[in-house]
Amino acid sequence: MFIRIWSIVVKEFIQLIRDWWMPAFMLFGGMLELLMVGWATSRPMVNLPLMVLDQDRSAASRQVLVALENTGTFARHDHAGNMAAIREALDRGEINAAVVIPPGFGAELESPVGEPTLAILLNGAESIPARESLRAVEGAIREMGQEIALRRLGVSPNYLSNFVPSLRVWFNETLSEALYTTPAELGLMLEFTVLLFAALSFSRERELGTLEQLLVMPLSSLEIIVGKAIPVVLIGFFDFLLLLGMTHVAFGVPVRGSLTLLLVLAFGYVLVELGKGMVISVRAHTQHQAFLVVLMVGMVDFMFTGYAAPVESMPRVMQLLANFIPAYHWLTILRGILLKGAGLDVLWPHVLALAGLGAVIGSFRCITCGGPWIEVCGECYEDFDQLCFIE
Amino acid sequence: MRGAIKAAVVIDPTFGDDVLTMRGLPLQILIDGTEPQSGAFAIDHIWGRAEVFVVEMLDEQIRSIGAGASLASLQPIDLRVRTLYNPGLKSRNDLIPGLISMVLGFPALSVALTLAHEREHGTLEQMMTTPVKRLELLLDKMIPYVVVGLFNVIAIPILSMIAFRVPFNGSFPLFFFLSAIFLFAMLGMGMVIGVFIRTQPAALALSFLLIFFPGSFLTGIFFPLASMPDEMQMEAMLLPGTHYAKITRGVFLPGVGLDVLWPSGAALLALGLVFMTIGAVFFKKKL
Repeated sequence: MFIRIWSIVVKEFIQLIRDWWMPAFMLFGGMLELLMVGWATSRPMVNLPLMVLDQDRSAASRQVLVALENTGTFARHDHAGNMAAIREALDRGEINAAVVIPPGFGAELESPVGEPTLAILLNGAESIPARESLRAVEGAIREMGQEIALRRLGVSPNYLSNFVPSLRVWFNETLSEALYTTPAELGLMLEFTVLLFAALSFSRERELGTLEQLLVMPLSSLEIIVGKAIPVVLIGFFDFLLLLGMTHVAFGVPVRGSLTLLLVLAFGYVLVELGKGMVISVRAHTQHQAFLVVLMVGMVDFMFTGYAAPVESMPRVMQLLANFIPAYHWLTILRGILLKGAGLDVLWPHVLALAGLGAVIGSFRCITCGGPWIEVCGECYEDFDQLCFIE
Repeated sequence: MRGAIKAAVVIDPTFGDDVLTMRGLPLQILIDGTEPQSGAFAIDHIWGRAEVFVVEMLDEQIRSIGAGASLASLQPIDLRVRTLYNPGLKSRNDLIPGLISMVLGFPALSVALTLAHEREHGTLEQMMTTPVKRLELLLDKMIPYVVVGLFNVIAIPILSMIAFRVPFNGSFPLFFFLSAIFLFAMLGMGMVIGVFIRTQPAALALSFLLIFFPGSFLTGIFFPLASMPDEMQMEAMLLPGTHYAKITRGVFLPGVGLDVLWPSGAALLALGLVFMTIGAVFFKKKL
């Protein structure tokens, strides 16, 4: 039996090497891509374009501008001539925010009872940078306001420094975006790689008409499936090691938990995704069909990796749905081990969920055509019917 | 550690005394920084609360010693925020239009795959021997996907308006027209891939790396272009999705017209023509 499985594994690798474009693209192209995208997006949002309408032109208004510049969030600001210019730039999407300093701002600020007013206009058409701009402006203005208030009270500027709560950020001390987004991209890349290779396994043979040849050989269906699964698992796991090494070296993502645990669980996750890909592969009639299904599944999963929006801030229904997405559990495990150094004692619900989903996905094929599915339902093995593949 | 909470506040046992005697604020905030966005939000929020609290305490103190004018607020500057186009900064109002470009990536993938499919099965040679011209062949291969894609262009705004209440303030004919150009550019991209690649798996892998992955990360939908390194901004300009993101953003919420959007439209048209030319030229040479 093992010799027969081995011969299929060898055959699969021969095919992969002959058609080397695909593995090369997926493995090294994926690495390159992760490197570039990580490099481009894993930084705090800086250089956001800002426009300023300074109708006051006083020392105080310049102080505001310097404070805004010091936040580092904004690129150098353009001075607008009037409100119309600001409105037009916002319409064009050229700027994310605009600050309007009304005339008399400086005078109000100097007078002990003055109420200086500032206006900020945000471009809501890009909500993510708009929110970032708002945060930066609010922070800068708050600091300025405090200084002024203390000056009015006639106490030293350091008077309040005792009253700031002490702050400690855990797990991601600098709140670095890279530590959050690169694991998400890693998880996504791994999922797609495994899904694509798995989806290919049967749909390609079927489309090219070689599946019948495989079926008439003296191989049991279980041997065919296991033989086809092994190369996918090997490639997927290799891919994971590559990507993990890269995020560690290039982006400084730490591995705080147990590396062994991470590798074991990654192996488990690869198996789950493999199951998903195999189900798609067996059901699809052409490669094209299999690919489109994989991409659709992948897009849905992408939403739950927390890249676009954290799952915790999604509506309740979506949060419930997330529990059925293996990628969600995997990302929680991955981040938990990498950043928090969490162990099984904490992560076990997710591990259990992953295993449960794997079992469900595995048995799915048993239900649909009464065939076997790797070891998850070995007892279905005898019922196997070749028609199930050919249909 | 479990991720059940995002932030914790630790109040020292001496808190009450310390505040009353104005010695300080013995308060410690612990933040889960795994997810920087909400972590930063939690910091801002708690900090703001603490500040209000401190102000109130100080106010009491000042009044109790009778220092005259009460400290109305530690925040004398009145910051008035006005959000244009999207009050409340709901992210779905700009993310959903942004995702249309991803959906329209599927026809591009299909073009790449059908060409590779014909090649893989050896039927491309048969097509070559028919009196169909090569350019005609390429164009004919695209037409079904153009139709499907344009159907999406109509269906998605309607769906997002009904299901998610995303406002659509611009002109729909303009949006349709610009989307058609975008589709043209995307299909051109798919065609270039299909012309160069011989097997479907490879075509898929390449379109995944060229269309979908950068399409979601580099086009400025989730991350502002301005914050990327210059080199990446240049690369993003070569992706049709970047220009299209500008268009969807402009048409859906601010509702601007062609006078503002024409550079993006022109860029898409140019990209489409370049891709098509490359595809047509190399298609002749290859077979």
